[in-house]
Amino acid sequence: MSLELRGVRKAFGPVVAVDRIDLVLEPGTFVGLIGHNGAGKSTTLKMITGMLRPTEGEIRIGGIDVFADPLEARKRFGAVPENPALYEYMTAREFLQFIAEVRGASGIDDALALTGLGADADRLIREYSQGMRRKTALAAATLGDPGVLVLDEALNGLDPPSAASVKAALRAKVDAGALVVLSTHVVETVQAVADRVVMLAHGRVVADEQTADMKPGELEHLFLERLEASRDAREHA
Amino acid sequence: MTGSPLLAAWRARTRNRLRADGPVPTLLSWLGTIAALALAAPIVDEMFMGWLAGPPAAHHDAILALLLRSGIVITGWVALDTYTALIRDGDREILALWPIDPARTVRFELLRLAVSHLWLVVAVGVLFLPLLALGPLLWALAVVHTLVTGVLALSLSAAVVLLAVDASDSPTWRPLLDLVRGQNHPAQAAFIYAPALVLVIGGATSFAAATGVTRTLEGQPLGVLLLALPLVLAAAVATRVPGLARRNWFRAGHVMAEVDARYALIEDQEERLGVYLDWTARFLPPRVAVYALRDLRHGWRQRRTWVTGAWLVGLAALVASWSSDPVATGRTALVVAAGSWWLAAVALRLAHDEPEFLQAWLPPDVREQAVARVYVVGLWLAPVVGLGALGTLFWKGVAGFAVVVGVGLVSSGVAALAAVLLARRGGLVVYGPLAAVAVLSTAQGVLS
Repeated sequence: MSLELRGVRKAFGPVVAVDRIDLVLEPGTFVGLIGHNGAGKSTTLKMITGMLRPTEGEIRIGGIDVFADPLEARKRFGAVPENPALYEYMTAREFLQFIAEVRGASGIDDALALTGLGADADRLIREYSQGMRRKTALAAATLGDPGVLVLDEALNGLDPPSAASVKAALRAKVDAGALVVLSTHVVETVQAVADRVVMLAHGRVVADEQTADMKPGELEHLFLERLEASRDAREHA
Repeated sequence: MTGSPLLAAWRARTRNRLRADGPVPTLLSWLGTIAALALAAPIVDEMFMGWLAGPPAAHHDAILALLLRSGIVITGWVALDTYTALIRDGDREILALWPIDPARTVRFELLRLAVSHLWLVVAVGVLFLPLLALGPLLWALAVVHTLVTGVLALSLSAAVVLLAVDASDSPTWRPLLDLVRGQNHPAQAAFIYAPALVLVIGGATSFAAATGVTRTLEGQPLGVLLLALPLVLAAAVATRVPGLARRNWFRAGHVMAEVDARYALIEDQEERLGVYLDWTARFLPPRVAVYALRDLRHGWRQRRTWVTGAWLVGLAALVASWSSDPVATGRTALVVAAGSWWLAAVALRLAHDEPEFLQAWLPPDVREQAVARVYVVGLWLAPVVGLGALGTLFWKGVAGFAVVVGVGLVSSGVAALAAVLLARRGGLVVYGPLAAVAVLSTAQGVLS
């Protein structure tokens, strides 16, 4: 399932958070979205998931306009927001059961196993650490095998074994034809897992590269170079 | 889980909350409601039931006036809560990410609201008990009137707030909303006026239903039809709600995001300009002023309803004082005392809000913190005492003024001190009963 952003711009009053992004992301791709703090990553992902409406432009998931047909669009993606909102007085298992019923899906135990939440699945979410909350949101996002996974800083706060297990599971989903979009500000994470990297700086796409041909450290160098160039361009403007 | 996933999730959360927290919080909230009813009953009796002892010729108009007022209160209450549940509720953040049919979500929220507001009907039934003096039929019809008014308010509010999403997003409505929005975001204006529209339509229908009550009492068959009018209107409106929900429930989130972004910009400006009453801190000793400023800022930003609520309670005290009635002074003093004890509980919230890292990193001077907090809470309570005293001065002269000021200063001072001291040990469990005893003692003193 593809994801298309056409001329997407988001302004909050005088502040332009995202400035005319054009992207076509193909199925079977692991896309890393990187950028400095305030680059527009979260705003872009919030627009993709229909939580924020673009000031201009359109976003389609599997050909469905996210804002014209919000219900159908939501059937096509699973998402983990930057700060996942969960029911505090539910256990992770109950929350997953709820989402599974909403999606008409099954596979709760698989989702729990993917994130390594199994042992804590019957504790209340309000007792969870940030990492465990993120694992719960990740497990929920994967229920029903949606064609597109939109993950905002979803690996932050995960312990190394869980992060490795999640990365492997996400890679398996990509190999099976899913599109995964993962935002992060950790360049090494992107270089390790992504097939394609989209770099944002000051609300604009400043690089869109395949990672396969990159040498270790090259992505970080590119990131810093493009960020500097973007800063210079803004100062001159 | 079977049936509606939303209902099953709600049940699971309720069950888990009871298991995790025990029955005490629920019992305390019920005790709070019962205590509030016990306090309100004599005031309602005094202010709105005096006509029962008057000539029967005046009963017709008095019943209409009473039911219109209760209908407006119920409609306004339900309208605001419906707006919160459908547009602003915390669950939206969780649910809006998933492919849940908005019509089902709205239907579930309305069901939840209906159940959680049933106590209002019971409360009105209790407050209307004096009507039994004119026979059980009047009391029963008055309770039914409350119920049908509430049902209409629920259905109508759902339709109006969902339509407000259209209005907030429409260039056609923009010029009108620009005229009435004041400093608010244009999109917010539609939501500000939505409860008012519900109040106008619901109030007019409630009045028609009230005439149904009086006609039924007079034995006219048309009366029952008029009493049922809100139900008919509610059913008609309810048929439009699923379509509106599908069109606008997701959109409401986008509109609110725009509104919040605008308020964030305003708050940034406010950050530079300071907060309500912060100028008063400059007159305090520096070591106390630091804590007072922190509380003034925190209260204004995080607990603003409590802070601005003091002006509303002050307004209630002014209304209570605005009469030549001999008991007006005592009534005002009671409103001032009850309002002070109620609002001073903000100190419990302030203590609860204190971030652990601040407690760990800032070496706290407990005594100066407490002095600052008593000062800040007392300052916020000033409108309650001030407005009540002002009205009493106008109608009763200096003697009445002195009574209200005396009761107000003692109540607000003791309440603020008690709330600050009990915030760390005891909390609401001790403060609640203490407040109830203090207010009941004040009532006994000032009304006798």
